[in-house]
Amino acid sequence: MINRIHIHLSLLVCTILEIIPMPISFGTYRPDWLLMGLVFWNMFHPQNMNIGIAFLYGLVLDVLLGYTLGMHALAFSLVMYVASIHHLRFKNYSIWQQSGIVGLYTAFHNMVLFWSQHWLNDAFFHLNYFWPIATTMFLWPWCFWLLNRVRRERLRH
Amino acid sequence: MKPIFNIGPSLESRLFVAVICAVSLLIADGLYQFSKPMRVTLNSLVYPIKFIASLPGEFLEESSDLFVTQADLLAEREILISEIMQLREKSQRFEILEEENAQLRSLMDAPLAPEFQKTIAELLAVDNSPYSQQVLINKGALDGVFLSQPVLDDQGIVGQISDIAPTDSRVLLITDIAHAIPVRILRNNVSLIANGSGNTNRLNIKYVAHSADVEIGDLLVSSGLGEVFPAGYPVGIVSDIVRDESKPFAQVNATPLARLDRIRYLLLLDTQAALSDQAQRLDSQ
Repeated sequence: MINRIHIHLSLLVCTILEIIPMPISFGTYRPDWLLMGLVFWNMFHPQNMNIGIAFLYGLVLDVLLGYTLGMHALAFSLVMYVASIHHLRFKNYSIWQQSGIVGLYTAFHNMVLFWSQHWLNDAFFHLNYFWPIATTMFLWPWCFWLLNRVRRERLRH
Repeated sequence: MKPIFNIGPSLESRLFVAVICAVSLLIADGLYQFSKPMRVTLNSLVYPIKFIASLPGEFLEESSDLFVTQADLLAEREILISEIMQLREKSQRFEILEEENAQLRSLMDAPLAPEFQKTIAELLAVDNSPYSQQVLINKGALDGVFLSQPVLDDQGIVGQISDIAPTDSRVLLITDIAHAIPVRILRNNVSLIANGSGNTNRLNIKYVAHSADVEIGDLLVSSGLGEVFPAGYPVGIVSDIVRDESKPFAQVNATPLARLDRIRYLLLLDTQAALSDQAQRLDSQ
């Protein structure tokens, strides 16, 4: 039970980072914070952190960003499914391998978002879609280290 | 203790339920706009998160306001005074022209262009991804903001209100891929439609015939068709034209005049009040 509080607090911080105001030229480089948070907690607490929670956080993000409801929910649930299947293997990878996998997850996430946008709004492909993948991969080691400290701190008590 | 075996339904069945829910939401919301009436409530539910997210920016702004030197303020004051003088001179000429225009219009029996109430709003947050170009402003339903209200800056049209919460609202920029605005060329009154491109510095003008009289540097103003934007506000300048005869239409791009990448203050036009005023006047006549 206590586990869940710090999981959700850190995911809340991730959600805030997703919407925090940034200069308009940096907007395209914004990493997928929430995706990193979800993948991290799924790796250590797969029984608390499942597809349903990812779905709910996706829905909150849809409302916050003014997207069509269900867009991020769909993308997060699909990514969460893939991450849950591989969470044991993922845990044993080195941090660099992990960051590669997280890059793949982000690419998958963005691809689902693009497909649903394309289907609903006729969005066409743009090379800028690749930036979040690079920034997310770059930030994963730091994010991992930070969240791991939160986790250790919690386990000690 | 971690249980060794997972409890509850299997991953696949969870995924199945989640995907069914998400896709039905997408269809209901994307194609039938079912969430539109609930958006204000949904937005006020997530308001605490938004509020926390806006704190660091506000704090930075306030602290940078604290450290402005007197010399800077005096210099800024100088610039503002000279700007006001120039604008006053322009408005003197403008008043005469407006009166003359009204007289000419009444001679021709054309309806007078209504004057709009304006509200100034400040930028709260920017959401700029290729998928969606929106900004958040600090005026909401409590300030009388309504859906599809036109939003301008000091240079031209910025966008329209797409989403309202009690104390803030979301502006869909004219460069959003889901946005289109009816425009005309100021030089020759050719009507066109300017679509958003997903890029803050470009509008795509669609369905331009190869023979259409469009030139680089043409000023595009809102045409007032579509009844969202009032007529005559500047939108953009034609920046490039590709006339490839193998394609059904010429490819025309325009640069928006509003500085969408450095929005700070915005003007909201109260077109609703002006329209109801006009209707009343027509009724009484």
